[in-house]
Amino acid sequence: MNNASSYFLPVVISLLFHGLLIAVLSFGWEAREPERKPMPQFVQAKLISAEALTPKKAAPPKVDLREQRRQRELERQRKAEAEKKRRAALERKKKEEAERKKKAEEAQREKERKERERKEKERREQLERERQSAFEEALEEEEELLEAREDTQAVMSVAQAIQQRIESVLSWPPSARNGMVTEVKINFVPTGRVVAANIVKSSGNAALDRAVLTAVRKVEVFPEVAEVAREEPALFERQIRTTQLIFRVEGLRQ
Amino acid sequence: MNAGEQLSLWGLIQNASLLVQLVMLLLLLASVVSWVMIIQRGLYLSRAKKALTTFERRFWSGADLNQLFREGNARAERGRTDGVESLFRAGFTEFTRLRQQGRSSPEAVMEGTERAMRVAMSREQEKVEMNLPFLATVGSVSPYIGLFGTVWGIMNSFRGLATMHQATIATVAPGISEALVATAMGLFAAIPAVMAYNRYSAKAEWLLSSYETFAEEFSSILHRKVHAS
Repeated sequence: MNNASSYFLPVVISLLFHGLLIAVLSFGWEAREPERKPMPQFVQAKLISAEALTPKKAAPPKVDLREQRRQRELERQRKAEAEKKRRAALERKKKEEAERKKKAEEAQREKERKERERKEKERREQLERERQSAFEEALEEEEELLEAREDTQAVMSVAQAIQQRIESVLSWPPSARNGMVTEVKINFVPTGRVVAANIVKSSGNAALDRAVLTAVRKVEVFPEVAEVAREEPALFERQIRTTQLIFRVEGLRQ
Repeated sequence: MNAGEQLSLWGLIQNASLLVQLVMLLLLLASVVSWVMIIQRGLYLSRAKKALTTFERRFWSGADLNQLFREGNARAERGRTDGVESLFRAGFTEFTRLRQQGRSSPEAVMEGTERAMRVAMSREQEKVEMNLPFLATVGSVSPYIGLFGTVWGIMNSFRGLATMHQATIATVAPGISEALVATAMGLFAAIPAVMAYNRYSAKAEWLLSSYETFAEEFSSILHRKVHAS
């Protein structure tokens, strides 16, 4: 079996097949909507008199001269009539045409005017809308600002309440000195219970740190926190769930 | 960019990343080559089947074996004997050669003839089953290659989505669409290859078993001849 020649035909067929496929895909596979062609508004019609259409028959040669003359006369008359008719038809057609054109122009003008008006109106509406939205945005911003201020006030008052509650049960260790500062991070759950308390910044005195943590655990449940969590869950989640408090040793007699 | 223009097939292929384009090119090549194999195999197998039926009819019509051999001489010189005829020629050549030596025993003659036919048979088998493994490979692997291209393209398109502020379906849809072209091409290459492979391997098996049957029958005829003389 002759190898090279037996492959020639298959190669040609295969290449043709793929070329055809690619051509079909690249010309027929497009995600495009068929364009709508504008329809002509009216059909142009032409008036043609029936006489003009019928081919003139060559009159058969007549022997009778008079008859021929009469025939010719008749023919001329008919022609003149046809001509008149044709002219009249033409006139009429012209008039009609002019009228139609005028009408179409008028319609076009009307349409354009309407279009312009519509656009103008849209533009105005758009402007109005933009102004409105800008105003609303400004309003919103202000509201947000106010809200944030209120929030910070609420947080501050809650933090103060927590601090007071802790300080009421806190007893400074003997090694504590005035001016020592401890920073504590406390995690709450929405019931107001403390789940974790850690020293963030130590005072340098281990006994003092321990005393603060013990005080936090002794209080255990903070009703103020529970109240905030009930009334403003979002605020609780954002600000109070993890609270940092600073305890400063003050007023000790040395 | 015009949406229609972007979504034409060429637009999609041009916008694809280099790797996806390579995958598409590979798949297109695989498809072209597998179609070449399909057509060539189809022509060869149908020709072989026709040759088998005509030769068997000729063989069983009671023609003289010597004459049958001589008829094929011209074709054999051009190297165009195929299938069952080459089996017949190999067996018969060996048989007459051994008989002309005159000293071999009938068993030795039969053994030599059968061996020659076995050799011709294995050569025929090679010819019949040629290119079928390629079709099997294309059929099983090209969907995976296409899938790889698709996964890569979708990966890229989602990575692009991650940097966007506004994620809409319109930002990922073209990427996914272009990626899916690769899968489509993989399937397009694989489906005909698998079909052709199944069909042609069945046909080849049938052809080979007919060759074997013929070889057996022919050797039984020769056997009779050896023991008659």
